[in-house]
Amino acid sequence: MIVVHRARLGAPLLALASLLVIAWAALVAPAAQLRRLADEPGERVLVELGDVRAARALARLRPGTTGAANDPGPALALARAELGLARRLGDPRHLGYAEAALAPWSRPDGPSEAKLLGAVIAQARHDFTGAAQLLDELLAQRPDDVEALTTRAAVALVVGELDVVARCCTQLAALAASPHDVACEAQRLSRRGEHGRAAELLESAYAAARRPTERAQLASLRAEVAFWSGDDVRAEQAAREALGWDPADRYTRALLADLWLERGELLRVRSLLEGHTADDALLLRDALAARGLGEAMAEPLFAGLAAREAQNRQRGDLSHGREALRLALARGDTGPRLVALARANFASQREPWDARLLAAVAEREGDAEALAAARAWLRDTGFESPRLRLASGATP
Amino acid sequence: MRRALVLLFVLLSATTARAHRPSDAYVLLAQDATAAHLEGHVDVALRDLEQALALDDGDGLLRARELQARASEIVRFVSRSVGIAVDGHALPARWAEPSLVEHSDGVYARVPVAAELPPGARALGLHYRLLADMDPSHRGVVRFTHGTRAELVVTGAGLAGPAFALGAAEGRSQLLSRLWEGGQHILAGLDHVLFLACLALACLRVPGQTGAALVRAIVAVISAFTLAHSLTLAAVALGLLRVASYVIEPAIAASVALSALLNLVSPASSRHGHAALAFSLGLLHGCGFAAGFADLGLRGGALVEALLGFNVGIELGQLLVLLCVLPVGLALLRRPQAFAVCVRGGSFAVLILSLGWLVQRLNLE
Repeated sequence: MIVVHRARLGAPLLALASLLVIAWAALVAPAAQLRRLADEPGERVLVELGDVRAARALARLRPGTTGAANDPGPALALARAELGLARRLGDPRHLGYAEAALAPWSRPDGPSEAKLLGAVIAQARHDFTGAAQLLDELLAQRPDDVEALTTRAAVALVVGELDVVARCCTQLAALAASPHDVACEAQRLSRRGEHGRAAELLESAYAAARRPTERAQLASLRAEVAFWSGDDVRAEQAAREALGWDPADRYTRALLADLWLERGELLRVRSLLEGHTADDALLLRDALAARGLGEAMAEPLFAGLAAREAQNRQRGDLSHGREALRLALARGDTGPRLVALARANFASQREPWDARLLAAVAEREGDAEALAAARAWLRDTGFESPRLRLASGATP
Repeated sequence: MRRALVLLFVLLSATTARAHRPSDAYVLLAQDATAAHLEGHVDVALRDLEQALALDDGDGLLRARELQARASEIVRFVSRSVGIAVDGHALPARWAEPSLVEHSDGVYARVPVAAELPPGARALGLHYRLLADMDPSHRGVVRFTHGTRAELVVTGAGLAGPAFALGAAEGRSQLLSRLWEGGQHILAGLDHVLFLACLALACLRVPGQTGAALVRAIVAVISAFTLAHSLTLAAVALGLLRVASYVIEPAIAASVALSALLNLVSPASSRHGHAALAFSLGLLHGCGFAAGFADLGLRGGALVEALLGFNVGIELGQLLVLLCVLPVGLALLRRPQAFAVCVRGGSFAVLILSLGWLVQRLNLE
């Protein structure tokens, strides 16, 4: 009898609990997928457009760019402005707008600046082959173009063509193109494992630099060199300086977030990234910190990242291989797909982070071939870092 | 407090998500079973519409009224940029008032389109020029469906326009394939299977019952489970209820653990309790089934038919499970000691497994 009573009392409670769980699940479910526009409350904000004034100012430039058949000036100015917005906001749509502005001038006999900007767009989309091709064309015409040499070195550094980097650095040094020559050489040295010499060069160039953009750039490089040399104190200090000069530098913000993530300073990561999470690369770091803190909102963040990553893949955009890989690791993916992702990423870009992720995946999955590829990269470049030690287990 | 924060966050992110992605539009063209009718939609990001049509009044916040005021212009813009052709000739299409729809990177305007296909139509083509001069990196992700066939083509500036082979009228109904999908779903979903198996074992444990009583008890459990999960599955499938799977999935794991735990700790209890238990927790499982169902992406009359088929498929899958569990249980009933060991051992194994799922689904690893 007692059992029966208990069952009769327990069942309604359970039903209530189920309904409560469903109610909770309904409350936190994404908003209704489909709503009639006509039924929507008029004042509801559907999209925060961000810096709409900047976008509108550019839109006003647009009509002028198509009419001028002989003057590429307005189109180039518009493309530069769109690229600036793309960099500042991390919004790839502006790369497309820049490409559209350049379109009438993107031809073999077009102005050299159109080639340069086209290369910058390609680089931003991780089309390193396309970027290198445009820059080589440009440099064949204008071997002393400092911006082209700097960009060419950056592209070569990403794909691991250190001989090309060295050639660009030599050329920049011959042109006495300060501080680009120093920045180039320091990155080359650091990639060969000579972090100490790289840091010295950057410190003195930073002290000598006067323009804020140069200081921002040099401070960011100092932070990166210090990060890989394992000097966390200096890395943090330099990253903060870089962000002081240029708060829109998403690259350095990501670097500082990584540093703090690895040190377990998760609350600092969250406050560092507050207001910067429209960029999925930064949102990924934010989600990792939120999960580390046990915050319930971490999982929807990961789900959103995965959904967007799937849509990127669907459109054939594989440019975010590094972030896709970190996301896959964070979501506990395993097996051949993960290894394939790591190898594909390492095939397209070969920087310390890529080697580190390849090694992490290889060790986790016991893939000797992938591990050998990471080892070979270390051997060939001479790169050394306490953050990339294969024997002791590289953690992403 | 944390729940409240999560809720606030989700509500905020759902309305004004600002995640940056390259510009994509999503086109669906579905040919119905009679093969005479084409319907679908084009989803364009509001951000792209703003860039093309300058909808915002300048405060940087795109509000519903700013779209409502220019709804017909939006429809015109989309219909001029997406041309449907059949066998090389432009197909007159009816474009309707836009709705709003969420994608992973924010709100999109969905412009529905419908058209009648001429008899004997073979090839469906799409002249896609959306945003081509504004953003050459824009892509149209075009899905064509006919029955269970679905094709996906990505198009855009410099890429070939999508072309699909139109299908012939389907003689048989979709019911059979939905039955199959429902059955597969329950058989592939080990959590649902084990939940049912635990409840069936619980029925077997009631001492001294006749065969008829046992059958009645099991039928009661199955009916209760079916009724409950049909309710929530239908509610979700018909769009009356939306649930977050990261809440439902751990709860389903917990329900399996609970059903196993009850077999371990409670004495053999009445059948009344089992049916009530099956109903209570079946509500959760229905929400779980709905996720599998939503992947099929159906609507209208096809949805109701499919829902029916899917549900019946689930029932058949359940019966199959019981047909496997019951004979073993009945055979063991004659040896009470062996039966007790099997129930306890089996329930313990299910408990461990389901707790593992719970940890995994809560991401506590």
